[in-house]
Amino acid sequence: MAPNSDTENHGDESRRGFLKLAGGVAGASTVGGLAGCLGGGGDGDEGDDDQTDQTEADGDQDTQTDDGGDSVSELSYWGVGTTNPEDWSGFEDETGISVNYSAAAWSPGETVTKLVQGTASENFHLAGNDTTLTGVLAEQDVIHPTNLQDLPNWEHVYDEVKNSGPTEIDGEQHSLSSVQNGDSVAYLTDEVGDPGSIDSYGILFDEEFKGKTSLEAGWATAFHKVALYLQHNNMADIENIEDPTEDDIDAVVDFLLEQKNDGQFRTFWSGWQTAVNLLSKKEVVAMDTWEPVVFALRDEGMNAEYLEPKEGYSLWAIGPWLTNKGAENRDAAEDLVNWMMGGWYNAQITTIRGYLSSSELGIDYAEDSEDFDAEFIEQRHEEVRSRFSDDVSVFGNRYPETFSYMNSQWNRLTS
Amino acid sequence: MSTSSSRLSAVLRTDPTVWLSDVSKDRLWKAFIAFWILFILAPPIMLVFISLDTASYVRVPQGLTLAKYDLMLQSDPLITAMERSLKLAVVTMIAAPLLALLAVLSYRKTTYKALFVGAMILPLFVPGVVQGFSLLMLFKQIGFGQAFVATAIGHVIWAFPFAFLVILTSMSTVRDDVLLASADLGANEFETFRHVILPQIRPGVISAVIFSFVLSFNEFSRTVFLQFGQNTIPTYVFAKLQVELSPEVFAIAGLTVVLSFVLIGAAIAVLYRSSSQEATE
Amino acid sequence: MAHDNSNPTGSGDRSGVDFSAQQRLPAVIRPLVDNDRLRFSLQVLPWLSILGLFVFLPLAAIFVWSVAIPQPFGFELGFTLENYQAFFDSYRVDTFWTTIKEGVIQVALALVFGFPIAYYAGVLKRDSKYTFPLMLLFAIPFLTSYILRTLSWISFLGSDGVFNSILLFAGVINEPLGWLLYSTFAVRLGMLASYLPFMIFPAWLAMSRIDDEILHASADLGGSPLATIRHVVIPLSIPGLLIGAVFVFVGVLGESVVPVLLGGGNISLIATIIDNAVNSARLPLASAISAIVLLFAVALLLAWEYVYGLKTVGEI
Repeated sequence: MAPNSDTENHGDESRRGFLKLAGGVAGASTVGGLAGCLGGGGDGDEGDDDQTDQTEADGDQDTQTDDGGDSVSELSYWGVGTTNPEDWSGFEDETGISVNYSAAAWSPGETVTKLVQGTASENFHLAGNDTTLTGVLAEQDVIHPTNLQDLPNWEHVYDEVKNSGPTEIDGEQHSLSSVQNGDSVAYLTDEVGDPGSIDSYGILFDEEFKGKTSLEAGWATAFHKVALYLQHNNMADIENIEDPTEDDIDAVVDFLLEQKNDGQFRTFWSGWQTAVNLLSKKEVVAMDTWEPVVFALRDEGMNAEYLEPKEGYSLWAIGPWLTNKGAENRDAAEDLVNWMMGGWYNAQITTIRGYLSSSELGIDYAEDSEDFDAEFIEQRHEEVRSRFSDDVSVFGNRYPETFSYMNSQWNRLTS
Repeated sequence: MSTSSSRLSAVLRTDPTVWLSDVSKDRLWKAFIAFWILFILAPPIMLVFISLDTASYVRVPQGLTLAKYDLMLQSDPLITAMERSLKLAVVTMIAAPLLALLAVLSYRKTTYKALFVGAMILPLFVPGVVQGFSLLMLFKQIGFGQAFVATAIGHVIWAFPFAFLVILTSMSTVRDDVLLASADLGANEFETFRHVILPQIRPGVISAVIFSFVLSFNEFSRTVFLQFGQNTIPTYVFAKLQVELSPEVFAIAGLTVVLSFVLIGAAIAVLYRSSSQEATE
Repeated sequence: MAHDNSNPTGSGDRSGVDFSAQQRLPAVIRPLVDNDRLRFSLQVLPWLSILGLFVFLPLAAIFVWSVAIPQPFGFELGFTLENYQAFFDSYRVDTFWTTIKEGVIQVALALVFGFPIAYYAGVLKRDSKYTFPLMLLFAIPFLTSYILRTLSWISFLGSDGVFNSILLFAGVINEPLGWLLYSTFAVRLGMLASYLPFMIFPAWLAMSRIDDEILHASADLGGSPLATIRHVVIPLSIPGLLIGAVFVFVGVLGESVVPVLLGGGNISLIATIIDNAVNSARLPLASAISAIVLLFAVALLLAWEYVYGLKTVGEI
């Protein structure tokens, strides 16, 4: 790992880089070199951390050593919006370090691409995304294990959450999940029926709601639910839902293609805005989506429910990893990870989105605070934890061996 | 000026479509233009209403509140993204037309004109993501990590062919014999450029500036690879709309639209006042 | 042209004249005129180096990558045609043709509707000082996020959107038209709203530089406006129309927002597929598709050169 160079040093280095490139290497070999840089991992030997506008400010005092990081005045976190508490000032008050949050898409491919092939591991101290990516990212050396003894909040974390996704690689804890849920389908009770009578993903494929249902344009939310449905109802032979084979993928996609060609789906939705919009305007009446959509609809005065499927939920977890840059500022970065398992963050995440945060610390915090409704948090935690411990719900790998095939087939479906 | 326009209306009068009077023809024209302006402006105008609506998602607006604007003012990342977008757009709006102008001047001197134009048009066809990604690879290879400069380079090379082509078309009215005459009259190359070329291509340069600004301000697929976490408005909006409620992004869109209407309205008002003054004098 | 090329500063026969012209220049830039090499490096090197390094080098890399051997995280340089095969043996090639078709449709729509607008602004109202600010209105949409702009069409096209409400109210229909949204129609409408200005501006520019004298001459010779359009305006504005066509077409090739938000899975364009390939670590596949798009563009340019001559873009 190249030590964190200061501003001038960095300037020299990029200038040297330009000269090297401009300096008369034959065109063809430069192209080769440019292309060749992709083969390996993202452990940039010359691309040390980028010099951003923000870090420019503390450039001159930027003299920390490899395992230091105390001098860092800002941590950059690139994470899924789900993990954004909307307010990071609590961490700054505690540590004096501000958090520069950048929104990431919950897209496994994009995340891996940007960390492994791109420069995200050098640009951000922490990256937060689906915990099932931990294995591939660790293998590519773009994320680093944390020292659990530096994370006092870890011992409080629910067991279900500790085991979320294979976050422990070779005995070392990499990701520490901060937000999780079991996903199913949102539906409008006035149109579809009341919760007492509805217990299956079958409502998505019901003739009665033809042209009135929708799936997500990406496979990461939809695939596992459909696979559960087909398996549970003996409609297809699915070998492994969590790590699907190509045949499993074919079974699901073929089924969905048939449905699509029948006009079953109004559209494939993409993004929160579209999701809320589709249900609130009754363009669709049942849709594979995130649970907060239901809360948003209820806020609008609509009668919406989140399905309790007999086939099981699709579980997921999102948490922060230490990147190459984060490992260079380990102390500060681990402080933030610890904070993201702490009381306020816990309480806040469950309160604003209804998701399960990592431990009872959130409930404890809420009980002592006037800003939060401890009962709601406790109830949500219980509800979601039970999804994690039932026999039927699945925790799908978002970067399976068949990732490329999955993407390609799903693209065929949505196009 | 006035003679030329009256002679132009003479052109109109000889129209064989006699069943339409000039007046109704004029009305038809105006209706046609108004329709298309409305069509093009429908989405941004709707955005203004959505930004004032009480619901936090897209619907036919039914309420009126400034809540989204409140959120916008509180959102530092959004304001930072706006600043960055504007800075990038200004850099692109200056750099791309300037480079394009130099390229057009060089074009006049080359003998391989078709090849030249072809080489300028071809990069337009490179898909944005691929161009963004390959630039990222290049920067990674040479260890260059200055986010702003990297993104600006991405924007400038995207806008450059547009600026080049727009300036090139307007340059076509500049004839070689006029340039030669100017030289023969003793003008040096700078004087020729300033006094002969520039006045003729000014509309082209202005269009190139507008194109460059707009292309940069809307650029997404290249930026997303080159910004290294420092969002512009398009990438910020995209990320925000993915997984959460984000009413403030509508506010900034609404605000931009209102501001641009005000600016254009002011320009028209100023022009109108100056012409009515002329009329009374 | 050859004269210019071989004798750029006009030294030699006109040296006496040039000397006095040179004298009038500020001392700082005088060397620029005196020194061919310096002037060349200031006029040509800036754009040539930026284009060479950041455009043409990556462009060349695309072709190298397109035959590289895919690996789980990237690729190894080598030679294989499997990336091209992954394009031709799948739904991707259909999407490519759909994209070409939609591109042609958008160009046609933009020509049909953009031409009269440009004609009105560039010929009929060329002397009005309101023309320019009015034309600026066409640029306003581009100051808002493309995604939001596209989303706002939902308010117009949805089941309880503006259009359906008006039609229901007027009694034209009894129930909302479902095909207005999440359909090919919605995608075409959304794209037209985005790309029409890309035709209007170059066409307007091309028409506004047609000499008054030429238009008058046509009228004086008894040509009707329609005849003037056919024999004067169209031929003289073809470069602008062609460039507008390129802008619109290129826009459709790069379009990955409108089909996703308004298409409802009924239509997909090639940019979405390329995005998908890049974001699933399949750069060789993305490169192969890009290479095909580029080869298509070369074919298009060759046809243009053959039929009309590329260099006419810069000439009258």
